[in-house]
Amino acid sequence: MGSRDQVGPAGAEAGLPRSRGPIALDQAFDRQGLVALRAAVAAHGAGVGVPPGRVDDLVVLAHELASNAVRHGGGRGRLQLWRVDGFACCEVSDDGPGLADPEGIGRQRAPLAASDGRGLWIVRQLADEVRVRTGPGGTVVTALLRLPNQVSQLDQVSQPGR
Amino acid sequence: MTTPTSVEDLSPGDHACLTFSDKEERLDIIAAFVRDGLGQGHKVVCFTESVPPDRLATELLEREVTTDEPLRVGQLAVQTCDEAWLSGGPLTAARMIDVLGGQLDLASREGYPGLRVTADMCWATRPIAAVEQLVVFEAEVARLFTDGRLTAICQYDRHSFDAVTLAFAAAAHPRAVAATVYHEDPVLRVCRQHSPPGVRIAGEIDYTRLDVLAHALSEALRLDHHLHLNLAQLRFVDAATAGAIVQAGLSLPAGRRMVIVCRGLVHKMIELVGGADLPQIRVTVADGEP
Repeated sequence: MGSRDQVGPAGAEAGLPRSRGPIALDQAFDRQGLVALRAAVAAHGAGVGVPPGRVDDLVVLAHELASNAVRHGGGRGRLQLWRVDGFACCEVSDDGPGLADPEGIGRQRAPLAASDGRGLWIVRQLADEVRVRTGPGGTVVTALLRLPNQVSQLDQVSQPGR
Repeated sequence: MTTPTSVEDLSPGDHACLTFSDKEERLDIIAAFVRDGLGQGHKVVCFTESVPPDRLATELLEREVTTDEPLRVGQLAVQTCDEAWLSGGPLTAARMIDVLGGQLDLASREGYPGLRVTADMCWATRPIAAVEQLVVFEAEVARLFTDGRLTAICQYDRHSFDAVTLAFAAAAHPRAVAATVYHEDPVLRVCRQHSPPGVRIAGEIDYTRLDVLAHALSEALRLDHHLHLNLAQLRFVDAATAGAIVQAGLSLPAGRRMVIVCRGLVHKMIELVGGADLPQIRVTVADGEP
């Protein structure tokens, strides 16, 4: 899964973690593996601190990122899940041709008549932060879910962690 | 036994077997059977066992079968198997056939052109009953159906009976009823819902099954006025599929609408893709756990 650290800037925001915690789930997937991927993410939700009421959100955003990789990113990809600094992080990477407009994509709800283009909109609705890195070598999307008992602690953080 | 038929296609004189493993599907088929019988002016008697009579009446009502007036005037009767068959002495096949014959005569005297009976057969698995009497009953009851006044569905829960008894029951009934299943695998089940008419989707669905969804919805669009989409047992829907569902609702002509019953994550997804607040789509949140 190559050289994607070189492919484009990430939208950094103050107070949000840039680092990775210990990897709780690391799973490769293709079209046939999406059901198993959803089950694995659901099973690991609590392990990365996601409360029961938000595990569904985590599963949905993992599925949408993964199905984007399957459909538009070369047919397969890899999902990693970890917890760091009061956030659960779900990252999906692929070897596809990359996204044309990484910052604009999914910012607006797709028209009801559209046949496609809802996935990243949903991810942006459910996640507290979405980072997209993309280029000719592939795409990495990281979605962050803020964990509830860390809110007050996070508010006191003024510098991006690293 | 023949190829399973749809409950709507049963005719007077049919003696059908319904083997089920999904209680929703059983109730759906029973609701359609009761609805059609009442609609034809027949008397309808439900012998119920695993679902208490009050609960069955509620379940019928929730499936848009009007029960209040038929219950009041006696066109519809709901009773437990105990009340009907197990009281007053040991149960024998002959006694059960007497009870059914008596119901048939009573319906005739009351002026009904026919009688529809549905019975939950799980009473036969209790120690008090005897499966061998059930076997005799199903074989001998055939004569009650010959004049075309009686129509019956015997319900067999696959979880309650052994395979040999189930195979016998299937063979003893001239007909079998089943839901029309568009797709079934361990993850997803898509079948036709009979009452209210529409489509029922259970399990998990994503864009890889959009073809199955399109097939089921297009049949419902063709057959039904309002399209009832029962997603109460659906645990997962992705954005692409939620979008396709909402698009099907939008395609309905004026005066027709899609009624979606769903819960939890599925409800949230329908709203996120823009399915709420549309004139053609009514979203109802189901109670309880999926």
